[in-house]
Amino acid sequence: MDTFVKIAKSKLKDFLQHIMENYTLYAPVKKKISRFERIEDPSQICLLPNRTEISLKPIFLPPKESLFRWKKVEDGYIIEDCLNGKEKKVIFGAKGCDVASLKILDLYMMEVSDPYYASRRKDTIIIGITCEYPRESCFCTAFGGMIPDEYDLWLTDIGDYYFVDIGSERGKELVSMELFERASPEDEERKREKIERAEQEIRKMAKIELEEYQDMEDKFEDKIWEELGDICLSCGRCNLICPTCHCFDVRDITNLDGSAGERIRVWDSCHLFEFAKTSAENFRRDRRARVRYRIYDKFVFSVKRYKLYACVGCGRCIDSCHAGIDIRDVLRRLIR
Amino acid sequence: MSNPYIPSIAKIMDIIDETPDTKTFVIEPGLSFKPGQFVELTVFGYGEAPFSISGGNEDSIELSIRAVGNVTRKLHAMKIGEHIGIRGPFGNGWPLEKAEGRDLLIVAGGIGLAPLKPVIEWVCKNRSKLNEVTLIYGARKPSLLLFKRMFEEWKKCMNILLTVDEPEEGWKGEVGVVTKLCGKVKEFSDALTFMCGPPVMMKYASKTLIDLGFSPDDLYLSLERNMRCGIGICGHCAVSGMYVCKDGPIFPLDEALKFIEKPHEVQGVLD
Repeated sequence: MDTFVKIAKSKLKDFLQHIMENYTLYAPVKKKISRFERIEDPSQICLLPNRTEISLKPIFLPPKESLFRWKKVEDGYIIEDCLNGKEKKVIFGAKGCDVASLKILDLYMMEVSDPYYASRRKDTIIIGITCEYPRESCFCTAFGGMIPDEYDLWLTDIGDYYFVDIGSERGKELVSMELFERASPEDEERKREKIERAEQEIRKMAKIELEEYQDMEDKFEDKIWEELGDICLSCGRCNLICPTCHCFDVRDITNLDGSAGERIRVWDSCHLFEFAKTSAENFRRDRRARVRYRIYDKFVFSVKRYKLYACVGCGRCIDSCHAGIDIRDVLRRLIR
Repeated sequence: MSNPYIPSIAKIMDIIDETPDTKTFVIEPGLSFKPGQFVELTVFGYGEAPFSISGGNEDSIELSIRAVGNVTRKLHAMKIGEHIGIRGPFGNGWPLEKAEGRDLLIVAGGIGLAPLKPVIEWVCKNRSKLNEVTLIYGARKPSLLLFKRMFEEWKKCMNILLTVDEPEEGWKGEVGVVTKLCGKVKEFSDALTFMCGPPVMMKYASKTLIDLGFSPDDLYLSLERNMRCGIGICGHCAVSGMYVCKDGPIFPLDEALKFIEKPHEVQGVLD
């Protein structure tokens, strides 16, 4: 994988067409909001200059999904598993933050293998693309920058061409097509400059570096939680929009005569009042405790369990917060 | 690997009235479990909830369930021969092996005796492996004491100290909280302790035992949280980044005390 390749922008459509012959293609589209959708025609794809408003999460962990259906029979019940067969997927056009988030989701969803997630996630090919210019809320540089550790192919716009980094054997197979050309050292230099410039821009805005693990353990009783608890609306938007938040609730839906039904799971939010409630007690009754829990789950507990921050700096929670809570401000105070 | 979200169908073979609000359901087929583990029980059409296994083996298991919510109230209305769904067993179980050659103190409050019943039954079977064994058990009222039908049998292999908050006619035993009885077992301070009950009971009982000189690494607590998935993914039971359903539900007190987000059950125990 020491040789570099590039693909002319004019040939990208052919490449995607080729992918669609062999795989199900997911790529960004822009309707009311920008998100990844299953592509039927490459002209639907909208390569945006920065991340989509919705992350990759719904592709692998849908907001709502059926786990199984049941039916009452003479002597008991019959259960039909809703687990689908595998789909050979290619994710095209994902930005670094979203690709990095998959590695985190994998840890949470597959420590004990979640079969529904695993069947969607397994063998997914990732073709990412470098951000052109960041959003105001971006801070991926706090977690290592715009290029994730793991991908199959990584594209960077260098003018008439996309420079292509190859990250895996599967990626190498994909670029063996005639559509790809050998890239020159100048092309590589152009790519490097492009990435550096964008990352520089993010650093300037984010003003936060967390690449080394910062000890925030001793901030559990800090007065910041009281302050945030006072303004947080406990709406849970940050959880839902977050590419790594994965908590869900399990619910049963039954038909009117009770003879059949299904069990579904739906996204849930640790900010909601009922989240940690049992028949005995609500273990996070105070809003302060719930705000704190989410931050600790991303920046302390995740480090203890998986040795990484469960945040990629996409900034979606900043853009979506009704109360104007900026997680960068919170982190700056915690690592002070 | 089989799908851990899919329940297997089981049949209610017997229903035993334990107290006015608690019944024991005997269910077939059973499963191989460790005392202290739990299952997720589905009442089709009503939902799923976690319950500790209160007895049984591969042939049949027992679940002792108090009627408090949708699923449990419907379950209480069900009859022998009806079917339910079972997933599990989940969780780590009590460290029985650690009790061998030592004294054992079992502390339970209310329905908290259910996950400890398999421990008591293990003790009765393996009595020679242990030294002194005492059960301290408290309930709100005498009529709410679980497993009274078993007490005579259990008394053959252990001391039983009972207490109630509100005595009823004919009650000759202790009156007061479980903590009060914990204060009477000073001679046991080298014992291993297994405890399960309401959070506030566990907190004060732990504190009392620690004050008597019990060591926090010999004291095991079974925590109850909202275990929805049972396999450490849905996040509802997480405490301080630990999954009660998978990393617990049983934690040694010294470990729980090191949690950054202290479980309510251990807050202030060392103060």
